[in-house]
Amino acid sequence: MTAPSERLQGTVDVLILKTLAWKPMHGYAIAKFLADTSRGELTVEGAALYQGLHRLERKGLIRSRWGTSDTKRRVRIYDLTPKGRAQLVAEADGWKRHAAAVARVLAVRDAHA
Amino acid sequence: MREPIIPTRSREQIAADNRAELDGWIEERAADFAAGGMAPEAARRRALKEFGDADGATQYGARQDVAGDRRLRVRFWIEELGSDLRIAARTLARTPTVTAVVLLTFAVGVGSTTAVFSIVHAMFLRRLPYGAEQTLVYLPAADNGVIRPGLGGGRHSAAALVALRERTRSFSGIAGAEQGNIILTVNGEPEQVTAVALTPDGFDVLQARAAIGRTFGAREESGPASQVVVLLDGLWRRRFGGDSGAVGRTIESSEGPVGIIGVMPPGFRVPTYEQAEVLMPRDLAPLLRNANNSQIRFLRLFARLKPGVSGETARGDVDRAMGTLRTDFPRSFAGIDTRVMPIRTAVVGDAKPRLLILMGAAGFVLLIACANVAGILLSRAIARRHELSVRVALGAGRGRLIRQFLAEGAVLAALGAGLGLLVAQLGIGVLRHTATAALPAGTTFALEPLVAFFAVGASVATAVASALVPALGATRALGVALRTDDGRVSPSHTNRRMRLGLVAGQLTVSVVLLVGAGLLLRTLQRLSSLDLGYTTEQALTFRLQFTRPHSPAEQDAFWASLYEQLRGIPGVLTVGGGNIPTSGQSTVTGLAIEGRPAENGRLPDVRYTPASDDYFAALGIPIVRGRTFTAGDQDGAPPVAVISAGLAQQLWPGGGAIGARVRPDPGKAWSTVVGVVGDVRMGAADAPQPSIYTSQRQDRWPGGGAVVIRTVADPEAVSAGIRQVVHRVDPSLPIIGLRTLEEFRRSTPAVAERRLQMQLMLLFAFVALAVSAVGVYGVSAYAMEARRREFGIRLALGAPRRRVLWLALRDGVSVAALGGFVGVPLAVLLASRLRDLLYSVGPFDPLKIGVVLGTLLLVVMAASIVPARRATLIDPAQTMRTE
Repeated sequence: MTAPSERLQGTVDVLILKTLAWKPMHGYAIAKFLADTSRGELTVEGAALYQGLHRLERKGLIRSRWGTSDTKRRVRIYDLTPKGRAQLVAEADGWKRHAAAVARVLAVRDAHA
Repeated sequence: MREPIIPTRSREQIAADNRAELDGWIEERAADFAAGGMAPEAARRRALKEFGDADGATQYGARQDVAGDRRLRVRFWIEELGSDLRIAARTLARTPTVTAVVLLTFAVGVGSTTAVFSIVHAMFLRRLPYGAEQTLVYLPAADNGVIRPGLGGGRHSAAALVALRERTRSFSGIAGAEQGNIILTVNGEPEQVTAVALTPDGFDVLQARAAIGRTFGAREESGPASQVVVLLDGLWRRRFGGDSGAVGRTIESSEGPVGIIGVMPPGFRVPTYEQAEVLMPRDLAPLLRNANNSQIRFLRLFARLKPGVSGETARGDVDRAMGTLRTDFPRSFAGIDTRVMPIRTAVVGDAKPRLLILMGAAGFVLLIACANVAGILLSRAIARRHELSVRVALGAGRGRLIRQFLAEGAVLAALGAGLGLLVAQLGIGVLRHTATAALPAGTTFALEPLVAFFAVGASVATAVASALVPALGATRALGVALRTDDGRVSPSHTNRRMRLGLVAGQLTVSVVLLVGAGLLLRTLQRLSSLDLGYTTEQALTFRLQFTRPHSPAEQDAFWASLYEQLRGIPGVLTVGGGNIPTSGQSTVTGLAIEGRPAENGRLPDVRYTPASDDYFAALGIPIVRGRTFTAGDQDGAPPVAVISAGLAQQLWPGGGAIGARVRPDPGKAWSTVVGVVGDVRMGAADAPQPSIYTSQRQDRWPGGGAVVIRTVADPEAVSAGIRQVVHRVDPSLPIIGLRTLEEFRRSTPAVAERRLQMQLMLLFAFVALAVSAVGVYGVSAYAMEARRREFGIRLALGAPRRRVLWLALRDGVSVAALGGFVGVPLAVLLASRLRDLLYSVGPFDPLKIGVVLGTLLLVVMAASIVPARRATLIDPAQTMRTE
């Protein structure tokens, strides 16, 4: 019974949604995409990513079908649903505001130092 | 535009998919490592390690997938249901007339069943207000094994009550109750109300407490303290406006001033005396002092079982006690048994079989309506054959099609339930007006929640059942049709047979109902034409009860003056005083005969009433021998009596009744029989009752009396004059129950019950027939449509139109024949089980059955003639062109 913590789940979920907003992808491609775009700063463990995909599909935010990867493998390709797209917009706003707030707090502390 | 149906996956499929997904992932990662120069084995190990908890992840994934799958399934199911319902509603709306007719029959079926069920509910399912129901029993007396019907039935003497209390051990208490009348004067306005005199332990036995104030106890059993009453909720609201200040007031009554000490909670009634509105204490001591009174039976006994004592044990206990009583006091108890009866049986009485029959009849109507709904869905399924086959071709399963039918059923059920409730409400209103005389007094019924629930349940069950028949039938037939269909198809035989079967079933049920209604109609005719022994036409009766005690001299003067003035009203022929036989007011007593010991220690039971000189003339009871009362039969003259012919025959078979001396009341002197008069019947269906009459000027009833007035013409015309006269003689006297003897006769339970039952049965039968006619029409119209081509060809080949007409009618006629063939024996079989409800009518009555079958054939012909006529009007030329 591995239940990833909620904050981690939330982070993984929003990353998956953002990635899939780019284009439909299969699991390993998403992992590679995340590693590449964050220049290696953000590495999500495969298991967590895998769980996130199934969780999001259950929630109806993404859907899947069997397809073929660039390397001609039979893979499960995930895609955003309209509901998932709306969720991404809402969550991304939240994340940006959160990040900006954190940044402001950090900036204030620097001025005093 | 709907999304394609995504096939849902099994658990095994999900697990395999997830394993494949994971394997692909690892493989791809390993391939990347290998491309960087790593050995394949090491690359794979590295990829697995980097991935993390693979087993945990797949398990988690599987759980999510299963949950998601379920959600998907539910969503699709709801979506499909929604679209099914929309399609169903559209389909139904496309044929508004047919839908309206079907809905109407449906609503009548549901409504009538619900209305009758409301009575069933009121009588059998409602909680009785007596604590633990199964521990309260009624102890009726049975004479020679029979509980006598009517008001006198089941009653015990005071001695029996005391003896049972002493000699049984099963009961924590045995209470006695007696019904009587009392006149209460509230705010200067006298009103007669029905009262129950109850032994003070009655409240403990019934486990009843006052809602306001208190009930009476042992110290109020006798003496001045006993001048108290407890009001029932209805009277308290009606006469005291629900004012709790009523408790503590003292009001005038025919029994002297009485104090109101309490009000019972709403819904409380004394079992079997449901009309009573006032409770008073009953003191048995005076009766017990005189052993001669032990044959006067006036009490109904109710008993509470001790904890843990079963009804069976109590029965044995009571039987044993009665056995010892019969040995010890044969004169009082010979031939008398005491039964132990559950309280609900006592309250509901013999209404159960009658109610079950009505419930059955209503259920039959529902069944017929059901068949109509099924029929209409079935023919619609045939009409939609092509649409359905396309759906099947596109992959819709049989389950999907069945659901489509169920959706149509659901729409019909929703509408039908709504309409059915409306019909039920109307029906209950009608029943309230007509049914009260036929039900145990005080039975109230309404569209209560449980009853409404029943209506909805009946609607849903009916709709689902009606939808399933065509759903299973049509989809199976469709499978066959798909393989053989040439596009034009004659309808499959299965479907035609199914529709014909449905209609034949409807007609069978209609026949059963019609025969039943006919039997009840004949019974009612027989009962109404039965000779009661007196003439009910052009006569009125009413009762008077004195509001204060009258001395014998006062009484004589009062009655003489009243009769004199009543005779003076224009249109009045004769005026008599005394109880009319059906009123139930007469006493039943044991008749002592001078010089003859009681047979088996027991005196013969007779109905006993004092009567005025003109009583026999006013009622039209013929004098058989001797004379009736004359002016000389008054106090001081030798007491005289008149007996009925049946009693004379029973006691003096060889003659010699006149001159014999008898004594109906042990406390009084011997009376000489001076005349013999014709027999009268108490109730319409009862045997003639042995009767004894005494002169009203020698033997008076202290409380008041009944008057019979024979009129020249319309009895209603003199009722205003009667009211004026009574008011002139004594303004304080209320007139009780003024009505014609005809009304009286009609309202006697035996007649009223059967009339209601006959009316309802007849109504149900005609509804059933009308609903079946709709079914027949449907079958004919459908057959006609389906065989249009065949008829056209026949006409083109020179068949006479008469022959084609017959072909078109044939289906209808053959189902009618089938309906009659099955229905008549079934009806006779059922009727023979209902002998109790019939009166001098055999279950098999060829004339009536002929009438029923004739009606049936007529209705069937009428329903199928329109489509059949259409068949003969087919233009053969056009048929040939389209071929």
